[in-house]
Amino acid sequence: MSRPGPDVAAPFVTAKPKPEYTGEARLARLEGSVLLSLIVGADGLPRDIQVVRSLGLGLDESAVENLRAWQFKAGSRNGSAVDVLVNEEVFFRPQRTLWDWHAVRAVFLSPQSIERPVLIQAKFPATISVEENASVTMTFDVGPRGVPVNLRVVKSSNAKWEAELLRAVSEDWRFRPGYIHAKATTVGKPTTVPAWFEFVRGSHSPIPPLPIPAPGNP
Amino acid sequence: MGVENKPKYRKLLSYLLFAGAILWIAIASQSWSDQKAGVRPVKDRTPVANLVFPQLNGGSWRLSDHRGEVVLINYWASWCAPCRQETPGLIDLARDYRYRGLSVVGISMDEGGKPAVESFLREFHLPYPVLMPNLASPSAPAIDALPTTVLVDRNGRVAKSYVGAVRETVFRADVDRLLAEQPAAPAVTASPIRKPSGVAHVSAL
Repeated sequence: MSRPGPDVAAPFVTAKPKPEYTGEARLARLEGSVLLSLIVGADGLPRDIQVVRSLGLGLDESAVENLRAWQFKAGSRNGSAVDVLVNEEVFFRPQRTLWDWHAVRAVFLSPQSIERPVLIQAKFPATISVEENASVTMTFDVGPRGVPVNLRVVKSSNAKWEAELLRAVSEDWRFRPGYIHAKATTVGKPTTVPAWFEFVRGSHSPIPPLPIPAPGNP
Repeated sequence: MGVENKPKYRKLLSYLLFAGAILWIAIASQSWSDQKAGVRPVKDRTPVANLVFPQLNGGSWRLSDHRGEVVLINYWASWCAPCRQETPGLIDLARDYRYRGLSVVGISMDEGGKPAVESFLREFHLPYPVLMPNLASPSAPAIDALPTTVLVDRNGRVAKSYVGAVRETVFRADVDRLLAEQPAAPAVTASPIRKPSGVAHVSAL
């Protein structure tokens, strides 16, 4: 499979529709991009789309759907259209003002056999006009009743911002819990799922650690 | 009756559109971090260790090669929304000041090398060098948040650092001020000329 390079002209995006936000991503004001790899065929159609870097809360699936609708001018070698393997990013930016708290990363640390929790209610601390970039990264468990418990701040730009965010997530965020399914057809059993969320106010993004550690093992 | 009310509705609609436009401008204008405090006085500036990072298109980029120029070092990542917001202004800045003594350089903090940033680069066509440090290396930049921008004066000292997306007008004002400064005359010493002492990261943010 060709990749763009000196001999291979990269495919060119000619049209891309606006991606769809999911309900829970909108609740969390989740902002960022999903990185995807795909083959742009000699016919200009995208195929074999894979998520390379996830954003979470359903936006990965939304990004894949969005990318299927992109239109390309095919890549070429020696003037002939060829299949080319490329990466593309689908970007999501919620409606917000500069100093609104918003999420930039939402990760559930559960095996694939567990159906992940779904955010159904979220409220952020009131926006105040203090001109200070801030970030708070926290872990918590989404319990079998969908309530965040065992909240812990992993990292923050300034401890003064931690309490109000911890309180908001603890009191005002609720999830449909994660479920274990014994078989694909059975009704699942609610279970505890660890989560990792990064929140930001301002015009910056914190750099996440590599890799994201499981809660309790920073 | 409906016909009589039409002008009234039109007037109401125009008011609503006007109010909507004002609201939109207010929201749009709040998505930037102005960081209007000017550049540091010369006496408060600290030297930057020599930066040496591999360039995306091959070879190495060295800060020491740009002594005598004002250098704007922009740390970014393709996944960073504010970086995306800020980049068009940096492109304009790099183009407008190319022959006036400003060097702009972008340092990608993406993991995964060139494939991770190719989409961003195809979209923006950056007219300035893009560096890709090895983030697992001890010499990787010690940056906590993106975008982070460091403005280095003609004498290799940090004149200002910014965290968060910055308006192009703020960069222009700061760059203009630094370009108006004269580079210090090189000190005359008897010691032999030494090569730059290896890779380092910005340590004076």
